Amino acid sequence: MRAAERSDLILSGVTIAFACLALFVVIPAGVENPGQINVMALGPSFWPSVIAVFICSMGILVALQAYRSHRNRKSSEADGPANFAPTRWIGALVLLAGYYLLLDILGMVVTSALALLTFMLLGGERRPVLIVAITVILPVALFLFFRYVANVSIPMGIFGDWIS
Amino acid sequence: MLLDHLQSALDIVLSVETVLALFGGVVIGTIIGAIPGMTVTMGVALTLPFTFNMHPAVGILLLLGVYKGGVYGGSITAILIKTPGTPAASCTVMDGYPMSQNGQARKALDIALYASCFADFVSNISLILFAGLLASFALRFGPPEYFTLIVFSLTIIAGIAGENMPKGMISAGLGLFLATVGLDLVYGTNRFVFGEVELMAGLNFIPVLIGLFALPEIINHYAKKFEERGQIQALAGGHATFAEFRRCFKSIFRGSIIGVVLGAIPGIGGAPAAFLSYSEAQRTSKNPDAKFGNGEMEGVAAAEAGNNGTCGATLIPLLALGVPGDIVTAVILGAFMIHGLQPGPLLFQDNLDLIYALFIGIMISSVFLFIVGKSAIRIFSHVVLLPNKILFPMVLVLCVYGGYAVNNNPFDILVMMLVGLLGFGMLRTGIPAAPFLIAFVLGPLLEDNFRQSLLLSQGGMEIFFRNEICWIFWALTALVVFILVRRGVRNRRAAWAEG
Repeated sequence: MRAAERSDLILSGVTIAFACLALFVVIPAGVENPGQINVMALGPSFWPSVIAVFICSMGILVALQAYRSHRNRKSSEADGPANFAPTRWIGALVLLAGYYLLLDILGMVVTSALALLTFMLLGGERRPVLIVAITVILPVALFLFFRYVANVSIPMGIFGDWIS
Repeated sequence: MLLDHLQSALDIVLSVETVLALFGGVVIGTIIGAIPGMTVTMGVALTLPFTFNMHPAVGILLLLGVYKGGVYGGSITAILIKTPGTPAASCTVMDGYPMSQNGQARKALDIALYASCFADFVSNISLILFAGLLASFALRFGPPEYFTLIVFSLTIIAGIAGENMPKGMISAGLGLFLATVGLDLVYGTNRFVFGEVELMAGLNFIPVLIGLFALPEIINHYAKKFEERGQIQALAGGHATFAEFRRCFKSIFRGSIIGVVLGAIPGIGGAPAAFLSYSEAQRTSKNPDAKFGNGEMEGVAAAEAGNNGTCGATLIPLLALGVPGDIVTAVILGAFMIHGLQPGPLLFQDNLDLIYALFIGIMISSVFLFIVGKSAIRIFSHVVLLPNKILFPMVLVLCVYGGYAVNNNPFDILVMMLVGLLGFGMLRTGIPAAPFLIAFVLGPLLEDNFRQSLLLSQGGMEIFFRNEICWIFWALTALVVFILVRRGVRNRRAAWAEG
């Protein structure tokens, strides 16, 4: 079985599991139904249930397609080389989580500057002048636009008093 | 009365703010379209938060400028580095890049610009002529007619679902499901709120949009092994002459009409229009020296005319019916909603000055596209070299500011990042993102009209077949589904036969 077919089977499993979870757990627990509903189709849980059944059916179709593709394939076509760099990907996810978590503490300007710096380094950029210029100019320019042109209150975290 | 609206529209459009927004939009769009890895949808999504504080007409014209500039900008990279900036520009590569290799890069860029501007102009005229007509017809629509129209419009998902229809449908299902979060439309009870006050109003469109179209590309950039870009061709050769434009004019005009017709049908978009226009130019060419596929100027002109001819036409169903013609107009529909406006026939009654302002502005945008393209091609040709290791961190910061600015709420950034992770998973498993967004936008309208109809009929399903309009939409839906299923079965059989 080729990697694409395996991936489709896994996707199908995840989709069906999601739909079942939605149907039997999330919808009963997450949708508040009023006491009396005369027409079932008017109830708040009707539409999400229809969608969950639809998603489940499509998940089954994906599995069937993967199976038929495997069965009908005449040649044993090899998989191409996997284009995946797990270490850098995990690094990016950690930085992304850090970006969100630090926003409240350090404020948006400082956290964005840190994010720019670390993401550029992670991507392999090594020119110090360029890195410093972008790290300083972009977050400050965006802050000035949103704060003074669009009147959006940008969170400044622990630097709030100092800035004001 | 009509003159009053026109006067009011002119006041809006001829203000310095509007002119700057429209011109800036075209410049931004051209730059974004010229950068490989950036899409027009991403560009419009990232520009959207900057429009919150603007007059609705100014903000929407800025977005339309980005849209039009982006569609044209895609041709720059297609011609200079054999990398189409947009999917629709992939047809331009076929003759544009060989022209660059033959030392005619400037000629190719010129004819692409002339064809784009002409087709854009024709498309805008069609928008002005047909949107009003369609809107006046749509005034007869009630909830059942709207429900059947939206069901038909959802078949556009089939058009943008890519090669694997069930995966496209899973994407649409997820979009529909997420759209149900928040207060129930009929009973006012909570759905999937789980005690979070922020979820009571539902998931905001902008963080979902940015999360779906910008973040997955950024995460995927770090998940992939880095690749080198192709070499940029020198901007060599002389300009395209008027005689050369005249020689290509038939193909440009035909391509414009093809673009208008295909653009007005929800879900088809620029790429098929470009390929159809190209193949028609090739088929009907009487020039014995034409070398289509090896650097034929008429090929570039036909592809760009087909591609840009869709731009104005995709706005016809959006403005007249409130139904997006493609993924970018789905984003623009969201922009209307953010400004408290609902596109559709009532917009033509209640906000005629806004409609006129959009019509006038959109005509001016064709002129701006010409000016920007003509004067700044040399600069844009260098933009394509901006490396992703600098570009993507900058886009990420733009995403975070944009996601936050919607409601001044960090919760929206969390939503954006989670949707971004979902989008990344979809990207890696081959699930297209566009059906998700279309379904997310149309989902509440679909459910609302479905339930309103049932309230009218006290639960009777016959209301969905109450008149000829409903029947026409059901028939169209059935026809589209039949054609797509037949095409899918044929493609699959052909693939299996090849082994």
